Amino acid sequence: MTTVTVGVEWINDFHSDACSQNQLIYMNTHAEGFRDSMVSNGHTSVFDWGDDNAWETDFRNPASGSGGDALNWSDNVNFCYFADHGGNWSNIMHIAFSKSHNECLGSSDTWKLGAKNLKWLVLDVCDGTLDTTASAVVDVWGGPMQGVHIVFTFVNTTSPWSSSEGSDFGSDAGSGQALSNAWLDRTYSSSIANSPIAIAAGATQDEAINRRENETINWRDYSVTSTSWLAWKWRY
Amino acid sequence: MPELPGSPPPIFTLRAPRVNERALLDLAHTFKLKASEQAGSTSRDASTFTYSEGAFDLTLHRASGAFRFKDRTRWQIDHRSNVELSDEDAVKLARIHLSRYKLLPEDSKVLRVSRLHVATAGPDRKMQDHRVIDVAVCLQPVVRGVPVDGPGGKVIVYLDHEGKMTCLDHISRRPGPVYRKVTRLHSPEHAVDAAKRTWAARGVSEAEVREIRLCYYEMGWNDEQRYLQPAYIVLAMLIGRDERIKTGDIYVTPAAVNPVGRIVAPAPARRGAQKPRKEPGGDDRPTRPHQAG
Repeated sequence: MTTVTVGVEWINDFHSDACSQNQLIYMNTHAEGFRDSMVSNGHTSVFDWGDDNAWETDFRNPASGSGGDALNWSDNVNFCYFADHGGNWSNIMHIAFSKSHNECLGSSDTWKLGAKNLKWLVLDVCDGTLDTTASAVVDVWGGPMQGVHIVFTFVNTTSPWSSSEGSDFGSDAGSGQALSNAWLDRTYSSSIANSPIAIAAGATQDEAINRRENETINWRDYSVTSTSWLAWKWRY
Repeated sequence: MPELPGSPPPIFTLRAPRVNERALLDLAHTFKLKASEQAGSTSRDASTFTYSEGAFDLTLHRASGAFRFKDRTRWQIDHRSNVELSDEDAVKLARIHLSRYKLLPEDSKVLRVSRLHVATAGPDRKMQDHRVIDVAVCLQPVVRGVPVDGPGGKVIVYLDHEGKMTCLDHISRRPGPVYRKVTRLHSPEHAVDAAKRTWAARGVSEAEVREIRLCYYEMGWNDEQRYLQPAYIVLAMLIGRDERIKTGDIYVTPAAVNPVGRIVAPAPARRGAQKPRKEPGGDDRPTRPHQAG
């Protein structure tokens, strides 16, 4: 099986300062559980940054200035798992950081996901999309997805129901199961009616659908040459 | 606020699940498989046994006795069809499938009917090819008039466009004898107050309570559980100081004034705090292996 590199970031604890947000639980276990499952399947952990060590600049592309360092972190691994708060407004995805380095909020209009090595990004946060219409998906993700194969996230808000979601997904992903189906299976809960979604890119409609339905980590080197099409799958 | 039963529901002992390879093959017979080492194969890992025969996988979880029976060529797979079943028709079909396998709970209610959707959009940014691949009917068993809820407490049937079952999840532990009578239930308001105290300790400035449920609380696939006891589940939306950042939250607390043991699975131990990270160029950067493509 193809081996992939993994990086995770997570935030539970915020401070009473300009970056203040409600405290979270389980974000460390989601992200590190994912990493541990991947490692136990033979994959390589490259970084694990939690709380104040998780930085906005790790996702910002250098072309967007302000110390953007994504090419050395989030985009220097094949699979990045980020667990935290998220918000979505003005067709821009935002993720919250507990320390301003160099911003309290990461903004998807500063991202070029997949510009280097990133193939799959998990945003284990709320509001990955606000709904499942074409405008909600394409207007937010069509720009930032620049080579990344699939983004895994949630429609609207979700609740951390279980500490094992990350490790369960990592177990499936790391052992070569179809990625989108694994995400939807491992994170949907009938009790809370959350709505996980997987968004795949492709140069053509067929390619995007093929990735959405069949892509595994063994597709690491089958590059997305352009994000002309998005194909998404969600349970609700 | 949930309606409380006339008399407090008792705490039950849960029977230890029968989980071994013999039980796995017996279960496979239930699903009309040949269930033999000649017809299929069994694999094992730390938490499950799986018997595979043809397109079917039957996975039995050691800790809970929960199982999943799936057709891996059809479950969640897009065969270009579109499920048009109404909720009512799907529920009827799900109950028929469960009866056929003698897995329909004695008493149950529909918790939710969900659908697996697909869609695409191209350069014109218009949605195309929006279809529904399956409809999932989730039943929750009802014990002494109280629904079972939590990560467990569910029987889920996934149906394709022809109403055929593509997967069945059974995570429903069998109550044994009554372990303890419950002398009295806390009020739902008591649960909300406890939730608010927890949120306050987490620095939550604003919480909107969306729903309060009284249930028997059942843990997940890989959790050992000895007692089935009444609990309140408080579902809320937590709003940050920046009101654009919200998150859902679930608070679970025993409903009985005389509960037993732990009601939720313990959170994994947290690792020690990380050392402060240094600025780029510092010596804390891990050595990165060569990056492929």
